[in-house]
Parts: sequence; C-alpha cells; structure tokens
Amino acid sequence: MRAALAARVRAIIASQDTHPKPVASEDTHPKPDDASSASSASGDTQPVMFTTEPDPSEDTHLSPLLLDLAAFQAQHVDPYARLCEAQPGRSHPLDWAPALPTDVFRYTRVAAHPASEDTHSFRTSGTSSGARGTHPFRDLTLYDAAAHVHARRMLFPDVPRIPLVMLAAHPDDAPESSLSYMLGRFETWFGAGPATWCLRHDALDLGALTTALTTAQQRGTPVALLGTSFAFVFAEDGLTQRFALPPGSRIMQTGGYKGRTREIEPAVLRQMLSARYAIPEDFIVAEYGMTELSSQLYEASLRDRLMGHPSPRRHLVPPAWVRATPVDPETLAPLPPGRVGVLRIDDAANLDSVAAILTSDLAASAPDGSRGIELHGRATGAALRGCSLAIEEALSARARD
Amino acid sequence: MPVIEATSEDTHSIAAKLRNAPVRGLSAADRIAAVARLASTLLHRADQGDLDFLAASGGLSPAMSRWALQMTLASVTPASLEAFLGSMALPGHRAVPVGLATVLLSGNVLTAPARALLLPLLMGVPVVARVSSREQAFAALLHDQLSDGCPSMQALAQGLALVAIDPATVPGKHAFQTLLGVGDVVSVYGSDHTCAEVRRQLPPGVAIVEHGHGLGVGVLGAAANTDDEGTEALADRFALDVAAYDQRGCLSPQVIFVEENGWVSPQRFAEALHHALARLAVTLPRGPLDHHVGAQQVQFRGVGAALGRLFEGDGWSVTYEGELPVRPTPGFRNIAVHSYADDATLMAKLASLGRHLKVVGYAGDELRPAFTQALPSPLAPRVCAPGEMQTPPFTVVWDGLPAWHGLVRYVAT
Repeated sequence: MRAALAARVRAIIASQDTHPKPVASEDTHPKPDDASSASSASGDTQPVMFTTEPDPSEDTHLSPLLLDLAAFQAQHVDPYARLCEAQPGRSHPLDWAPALPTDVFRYTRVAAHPASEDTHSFRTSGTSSGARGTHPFRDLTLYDAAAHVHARRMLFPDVPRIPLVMLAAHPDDAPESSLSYMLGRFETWFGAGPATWCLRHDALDLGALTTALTTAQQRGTPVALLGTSFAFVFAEDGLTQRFALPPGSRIMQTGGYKGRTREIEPAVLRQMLSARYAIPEDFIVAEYGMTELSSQLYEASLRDRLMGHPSPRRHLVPPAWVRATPVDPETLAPLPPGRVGVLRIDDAANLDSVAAILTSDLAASAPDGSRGIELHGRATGAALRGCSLAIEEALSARARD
Repeated sequence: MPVIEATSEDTHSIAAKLRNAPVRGLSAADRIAAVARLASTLLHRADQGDLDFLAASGGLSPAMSRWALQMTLASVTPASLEAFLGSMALPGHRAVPVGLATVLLSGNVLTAPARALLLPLLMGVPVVARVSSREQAFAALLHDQLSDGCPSMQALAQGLALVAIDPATVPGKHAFQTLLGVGDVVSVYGSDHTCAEVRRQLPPGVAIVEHGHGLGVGVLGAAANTDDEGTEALADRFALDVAAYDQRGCLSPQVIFVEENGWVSPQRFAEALHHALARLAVTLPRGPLDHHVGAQQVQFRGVGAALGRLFEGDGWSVTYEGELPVRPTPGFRNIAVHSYADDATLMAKLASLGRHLKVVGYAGDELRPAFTQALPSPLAPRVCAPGEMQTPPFTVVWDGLPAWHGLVRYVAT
C-alpha cells in the first residue's frame, strides 16, 4: 500500500515539474560562469520562464489521495490512530481526515515505520523547556522532489542556476535541521558553483558574506541570498556597507526569530533588505516550512513580477500536492476567506508520518480566492497569561533557579 | 474614564498630590466603612450594563464577571477588614503607613485590582496604579464608585490615581521610570520577566513587592476517593476551580493529580470532571476565545487525544494523560488529569514546580495538614479545599507575605 501511495504522490509532484532538466547532472556543480544566464531576469528584457503556468491549482487527485494517506497512516502511526479514534467525524462536513497537532511530534514518535528504518530525522529548534519535536524519515525522495519542484517554480523560475549565499547553517553543522538540509539540496540543484555558507555556530561570518556580495557586484552576476530571518537581522546589525547587487538577485528568508534577535515586522524587514542589497521588494520572498512537513510554501511576489502580474501578491502559495487551510480552533472547520484561524496543512509528501497537520500558526485564506494564505504569525498565549504561568514555563524557570 | 495617559511630568504632579490626599487623615473606622461600602455597592448595585462592560473588557462572560465580583468582594465586610487591621498590631509598636504605594497591575484576572488597590487605601496609603493595557475596566469602575460614594469613599477616590503608560514609547519609558521612583513601595503583578525588569529599573530607596508567575494544581488522593457520590462532588468542586476566571489566573489549576487505586480510576475521574465542566458551562459559560489561545488549545487537545484520552465539550476539555510528563495548558478551561502512584511520586512532581506553585486544591479536609507538612522545600503554596483555589479571602497571605507587607513601617512606642 505504501508503494502505491508513494507513486500517487510522486505522480502529482511530477506533473508540476515542467521545467527543463537541470543543465548539469545531479550532485555536480556547474562552473560559476554558468550563472551568466541568470542575468536574464534583469527586468530590461522579458525573462525566459521555465514554468509559465499560473499558481498550481489543487490537483484533482489530491483529496482522495489525502484520505487514503490518512487511512494508511491511521493503521501504522499509533498517535494518529488514537487521534482518529478520539475525533471521529470532526471534519466530516468536508470529508477531511483529522489533523495531528505539531506538538505531538514533541512528545512521541510519529512515523509509519520502525525507528530501525529511519534514514534521517529532522528536529525542531525547541521551546523554552527545551522539548524538541522530531520528524523521522524512511527516505527523502519525496521530500527532495517536493522541495525541488516548488522552489523551481517560486524561487528560481527564470534561472537554471545562480550563485547562492546562505545565511543559515551548513547541513554538516546542523544535520538535524530540515532547513539546512533543504538549502544543501538547493546548492546542488540550483547553485552556480559551491554556495557561500555564512552562518557558523550561530555566528555570522560577515567577511564571507561581504566578499561574496562584493564579488557578485563586481562581476555583475546576480546572486540569491537564502536564510533565516534572524540571520538577516544579524547581518543588518553587523554590516556597515550597502550593496548594489545586480538585477535578478533575490532573497529567500524564512522562519521566526525564536528570541535570538530583535523581532522585525515582515514589511519592515523587506524594506531593510531591499535598501541594504538593492533588491526590489518583489524579489524578496518569504518561505514557510516546518520540520513536521515535507513541502514548503512561498510568497508569490517574485513569480508574479516575472510573469508581469500588475500587483505581485504577498501571500504564500502551496504546491499542488499541499492544501493549506485556516480552520476554526474550536470546530476545526475551514474558515471563509479573510477569517483568521489556525493553519492546517495537508501535505501529501508526508508519506511516512502524518499528512494532515495542525500548526500553531495563524493564517487567513488569501482574499483573491486563490489557494494561497496570509500568515498572521505564531500563536502566543503570553499576552493573556499575565501572572499566570503555563507548566512548561514553570519547569523551565525551575531549571534556571 | 478616570484613567490618565500620564507623561513623566504628570506622574510627578499626581504623586505629589496623592502624598497629601485626604485618605491619610481618615480614621481607620472611616476607611473600613468606605471600603466595605464600596464592596457592598459593587455587589448589589452592579447592573447588567456594568457586567457587560466588565465582560467585554475582561474577556469573561457576563455570568462569570458577576461570579468574580461576588467571590472577590463577598468577604469584604467591616468585621473582616477590622480584623485585618487588627492583625497588623505588633506589641509595643505603632504601624505607620508609607506615604505612597505604586501598583503595577496585570490584566489576566478581572477583579485582581480590588485587592491590589483597596488594601493600601484601607491602610491609609494613597495609590498610583498603572493599569494593564488589556484590562482597565474594573479598576476604573472601582474609582468611579468611590468617587460617587459617601465622603469617606470620596476621600479614598482622591487617594487613588490610575495611569496608563506604554513603556514601549520614549515618553512612556520616561513616565514609567518616573512612576517607579515616586512611591515608597512598588507592588508588581505580572510575569517573572516583568518583575525582574521592574527590580532592575527600581531607584534606590524604593521597596518592591513582587507577585510573579504562578500556577495551581489539584490533588485527589486515594484516601479521599472512596465512593462514586463523593468523588462526583469533588469533580464539581475542581470544575469550579478550573472554570473560575476561565483558568487565566496565577491560582488557576493547570493539572489535577489523581492517585491510583482510589475508588474511581484517574481516567474515570477525568471523565467525571468533563461532565462537571459541562454542567458548569450552563451557568458560568466561558468567555470568547482569542485566536492565539485557540491555536494553543488545538495543540493541547490534540496531544491529549493522540497520547491519552480527550474529553471535550463546547468551551472546555479534560485530557487524561496517565503518567506522561506534565505539559502546558493554554488555560481557558483546558485541564489535564495525571495519575500518580504514591505520595513520593506526587511530591517529586510538585517539587519540580518550585516557588511558582502558589496554590494546591487538596481533597480531604482531615488529610490536608499532613500533606502540607510533607511538602518539600521551597514549596510554600496555599493549601485549600477543592473549589476554593481561586477564591482566597480578601486579606489572605499572598506569596508567603502578609497583605500589609511593604505598606507599613513599625515604630516602637
């Protein structure tokens, strides 16, 4: 059954993979000069687009596939089986399977296979008490396929390869980080030569960053800066010079701040980055990914701009094998566009764990009626607690006493 | 509204005026009468409009707002206030009120300002209080009722100033620093982080009384769990502790520990608590759910369902989690029931909560003293009967300190 499900998921992902095959074979890097084609996105001329369709619509096969995945996972993933027993029919009006909260990954193993068959485990970055979620994988082929196809569409639709500058930890330094893993794969798939990795042990190598950007500037070669929001803020606080990166350069930033630096509103951060690197705001794209998922969502602005959309959209676009749905926190029913609710994500690429996931994030469906969502941030109860205290905080505070 | 958006200069002049407020010259009898009359007025004359106003501001249902008023103010009687002032007496000494108290209020429990504001006034200490940005209605109502009352109540009103200050702005930061320096003592209600910040910014010579983070737990030992009827009654009482203030306070239970081998199993007790919360929701419905809490509630309930048992209703949930590690609850009537094997296990679980454990609702009147004695250091919670966790007497010892701590000085006579 697993093999049949995997084939169905793979078929949907493959149906979206409309770009030409990579110019170099897997796991080999082209020479940096191959990046010259990246300048096609300069804005002076219409770029050559590798994918020209509009946003991916939900695949017609997705709904039945998600139900079959849920049935398979309820048979093989113990906590999910218990959830399905406890919440029969919670989503019946839409015939959706119950969704597993991400916190479950912190307390128990969520996998359809035994631990002995794990090939990778990604872990969340933790909470105040140090409890971390783990997402074990039996293999990463679906993860890779999903990450490749959607990044190609949303981040690199106009360039086969481009020099990459990473403001994130290298996969060797952070083997449990799904983000580092993904960026490592990006280096292979989309990088023009080895990437410049600028974050080591939570410290930003400003020298390496400056050198990489100055070189790109001098050569007139566009670059892509990819990293975490807090790393970009570290860079903002540490850099003294501004850059005039060549047209076609872009930024992908992701994740929250997790208390590592001052928090900055997304729009303000975009303005800061645009001013610092001379990159148009439409070419600054937020990515939404989670350890507990196998797929990512991206803001549509870069793609919209390249396709001549008059007003590029800021909302996050899921790939065709993913459904992102704000739901009512009490009834778990989907909310109409514009209403803020808890973000539920059904990710068909989560084959060996649970496809239907309830996040702790708040979101609303995009007002334009597309499948996109507007993120309203991570939920926090601190504002309501005042002098009251959740047990987790008590335990962590006790540990510090 | 009597709440003033205060600058640094405003704060200075407010403080100077308060130090000469008529409450300082009021006799103890007049102060007792004024506070008791205020409580009576609020208890008996608060109309639906007042309750709706409080409910909208505090995020509780109108019925819960009324309950909160009753529970907070019912024990505010002339006799109890007189007894409280009498308890301050120290042989051979005279208690002298300080000149001005600064109070920093938190917004999570609607009626918390009553104690924080009225006890200093009862002792003849004027108060300048920074109200919470989230909940200002109850403090404002207190001030309004005092202002509209008899001459003694009006004297109390003139000794109370409510200010709104946002330290995130530059003028607000200056005003906040001024506020911390104008009184003889600062009472701060809020998170540990808030308390630490205030302590750090406090000018020399100003005392601080901290009311930081806290939580409560319930305990049902096997000795108190001996028949269906009694245990159902206990479930009703614990349900009231959970529902009170929608479980948002520092006295709210976050978990109920049930000893194995009692008459009713821990899981069955969780189910009984669920039914009790359902009954209570009819008379004391929960307030509206914030998006953020809603998201946390989704996680809490889902984990309960995936790892234990979930009993949920429209506005409450109970999870049964056996001996799993204790985990956060979002409040808002979401409670976990855990089992424990013996007293040693229970004490270890309680010890892990440390000084943050402020109250234990312990079933079994005759068993409570022995339990309290056995609590390991540094635990110093108030130990009470189920159903009383959130309704301490108005003048109760708080955080291990008498209610007059910091508000009086003793002079040998």
